[in-house]
Amino acid sequence: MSEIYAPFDGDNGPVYRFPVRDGDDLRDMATAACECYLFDRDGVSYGTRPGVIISPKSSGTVDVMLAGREADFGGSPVPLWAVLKMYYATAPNRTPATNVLLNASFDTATGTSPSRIADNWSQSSSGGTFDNSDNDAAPSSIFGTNQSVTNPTGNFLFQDVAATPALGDRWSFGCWVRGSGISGVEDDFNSIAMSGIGGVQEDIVVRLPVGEFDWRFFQDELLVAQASHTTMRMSLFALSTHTGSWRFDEAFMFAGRWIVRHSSEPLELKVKRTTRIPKASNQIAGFGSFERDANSDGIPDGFTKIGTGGTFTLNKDPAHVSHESASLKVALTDQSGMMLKLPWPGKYRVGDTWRASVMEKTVGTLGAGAGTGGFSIALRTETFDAAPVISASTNLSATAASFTDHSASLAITTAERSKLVIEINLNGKTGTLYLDDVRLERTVAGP
Amino acid sequence: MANELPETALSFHVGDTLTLSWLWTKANRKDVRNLTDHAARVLFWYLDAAPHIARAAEVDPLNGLVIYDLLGDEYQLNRATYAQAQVYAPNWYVNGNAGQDGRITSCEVVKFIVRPKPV
Repeated sequence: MSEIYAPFDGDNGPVYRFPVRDGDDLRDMATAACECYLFDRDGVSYGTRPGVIISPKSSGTVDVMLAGREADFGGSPVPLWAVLKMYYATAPNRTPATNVLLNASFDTATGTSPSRIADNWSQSSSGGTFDNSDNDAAPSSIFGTNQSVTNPTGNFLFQDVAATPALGDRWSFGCWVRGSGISGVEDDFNSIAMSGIGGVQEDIVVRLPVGEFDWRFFQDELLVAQASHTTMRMSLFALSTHTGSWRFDEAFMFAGRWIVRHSSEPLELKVKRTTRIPKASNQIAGFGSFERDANSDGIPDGFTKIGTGGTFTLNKDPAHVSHESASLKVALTDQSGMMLKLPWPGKYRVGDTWRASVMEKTVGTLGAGAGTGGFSIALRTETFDAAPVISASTNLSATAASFTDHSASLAITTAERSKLVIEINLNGKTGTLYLDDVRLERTVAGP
Repeated sequence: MANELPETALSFHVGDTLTLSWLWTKANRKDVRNLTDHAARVLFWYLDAAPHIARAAEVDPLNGLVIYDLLGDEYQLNRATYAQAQVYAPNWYVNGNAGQDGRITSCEVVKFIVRPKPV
């Protein structure tokens, strides 16, 4: 039995939750992976989505979420068909295999960026930017924390496990990977690999794509053909000389094979049509006007505060409101690196121009400070979203006796993007200001 | 005003002061979903038209409710009005950061028939 939540076009919340059973029993999914392939009724591919195995993984429950860009906002939705592909790590006795890697989910780490390495994993040399975080940009972290790597300049991560495989044994490995801005052409220097070490070394390498790719599960197996191995090693790229950014999560290495199964029948996800806000209108209506603060933390609903400092309160004095019934009052004390952030998913086509704007009013003149990070409204794309980041920004005013509009316009180039991020940077000033009516609108429609 | 037959249109009269609420449940359709750190908005539109109203709604997180107080500009007399609530979720699977990534989930569309007030 499974739950299908029929989404509306543009939704990207969990849409399909299903249990995985072995007979009558829920299957332990601790060493399993799931991919979901999406098609329309004509067989046109709409990409692949990762299956998120719900914690605890012994519960045998998987969520599949859409990206929210399968249908254009305001356009015609499509009925989607999903084919699920399951990878079961299986021991030679046909029971679920044991993942011999420690900290395989990269949940704990030591050090700080650029040298924050997941525990139990080692660097081959040095260089590059290594971090361990849960802030995967697009989508949100699918399996918790992940290991990120940028421009490793030959450095790579590996984990050695003591093992003595016999001739003819099969060992397998796998890992979820995503990439952004990977340079060059596909080769063994941009890969994940498994090696038998001790005796004559043997390796199995799985090449990773170049350019941009969303979370994908890579796996392979090795038929042990050399004797006297004492160690099995899993490497996150064998020796990368490429530039770009990678993220790794949910690594596997085990004695046995991957058993691959596809769902017997495609599952129909009925995408419901609904009226959406026209792209020439304010996409964030309802949030950008700062009307609600459900948890009373001073930060309006939908917005995230990055950094520290400043005092935020919802203001309902009509004298300081530009739109609807409330605005955001901010008391600044020369912050650095502090902003309000609102990511907004959508289908942003090449040739579009999008405009982010905010209304600002100051109490007198704001004092100048030394804080860094800018005093501006910015609109940008994100890493891991189809192409390198592009951005635009406009400074806010130190003096605005009445509400004044400030806007940043961004032309979408290079590739279609699935998210724009509005950032209101509030640094380097002292004093009080009011913000209201943040908007995101398309001013130029691409071809 | 409870609508336990979602396929049936609701009716109300000009002058009514109404609070609308939407209940979010878990996948089992029985347990209430916790909407902590969720943001919500409600859209109103007439048939085949773009939304004329999009406003923030109140979230009652522990009861899984999205609550919206009608202000009176959402509807016109004798004209069917459609409404839909959306929630924008925090990062459920990791740390629950409010507003991070903004997963969108929409509720069923509700149709209202607005009738003249009895004299």
